[in-house]
Amino acid sequence: MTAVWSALQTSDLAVWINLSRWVYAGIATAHVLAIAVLIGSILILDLRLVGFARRLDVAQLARLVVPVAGTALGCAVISGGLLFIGRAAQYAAFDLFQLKIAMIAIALAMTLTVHKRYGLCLEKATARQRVRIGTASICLWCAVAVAGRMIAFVHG
Amino acid sequence: MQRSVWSVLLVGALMLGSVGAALAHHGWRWTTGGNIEVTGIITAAQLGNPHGVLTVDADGQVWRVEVGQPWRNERAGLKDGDLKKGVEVRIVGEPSADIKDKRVKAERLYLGKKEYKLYPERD
Repeated sequence: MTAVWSALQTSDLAVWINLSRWVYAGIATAHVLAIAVLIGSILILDLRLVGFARRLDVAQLARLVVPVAGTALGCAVISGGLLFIGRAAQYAAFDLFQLKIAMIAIALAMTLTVHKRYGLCLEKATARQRVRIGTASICLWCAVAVAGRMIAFVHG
Repeated sequence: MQRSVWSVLLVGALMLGSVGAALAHHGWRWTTGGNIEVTGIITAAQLGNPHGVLTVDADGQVWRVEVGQPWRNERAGLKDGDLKKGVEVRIVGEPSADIKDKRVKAERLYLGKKEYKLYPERD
């Protein structure tokens, strides 16, 4: 694995990102924006699942929120990948980074599993199950953001 | 139901709150406010974004020296290869407020007699 990391961080793209001023700043900014949209949109849907604003139709809400969240996730993964390759070996060794990636994997696996089991709008889930799913989702994604942000302050 | 809503909000608030409590190395908040000097040999140099880090051996004491991002080092007049393994460097900067943490953020540095000001606005 270390060979992969060192190949990544010595690539022309990684070196270019690593030495630039505004390219790096731009990618870091894009990453923040993507996370803001991702967690913001997930939070809206989760709050509805948990029990807020019950007059809003879940299916209608999901029609707007899910594609927005999906697009934001894609942007976050791409910008995050670009930030990662500059110092791949170092980041890969950080326990907070590993934790963050693990939690993203768990959150995505959970999302896919519950939609497969309970339908696209969780229409087959009971109210109690929806609360649990929404709560787990909010907690996981917030924890991902906290772990990600803390990398800079704990390791650096 | 209402109780679970509040517990979710509480967990979220606690998570966000923990952000503010953490130790920072960006900025100057974690430093003492006063300058120290460290002179030693660079044993490792990792330059590039988000900021450069030198490992400096000062008579057996290993210091972690935070230097600038590429643009700041370049603005100070440093060229590629100036900061590399084996080079003797004198650092003036603020140490971590935690004395056990051998870490200093460079305000300026010297290679031989030549001065490189990373933060010209700071003394």
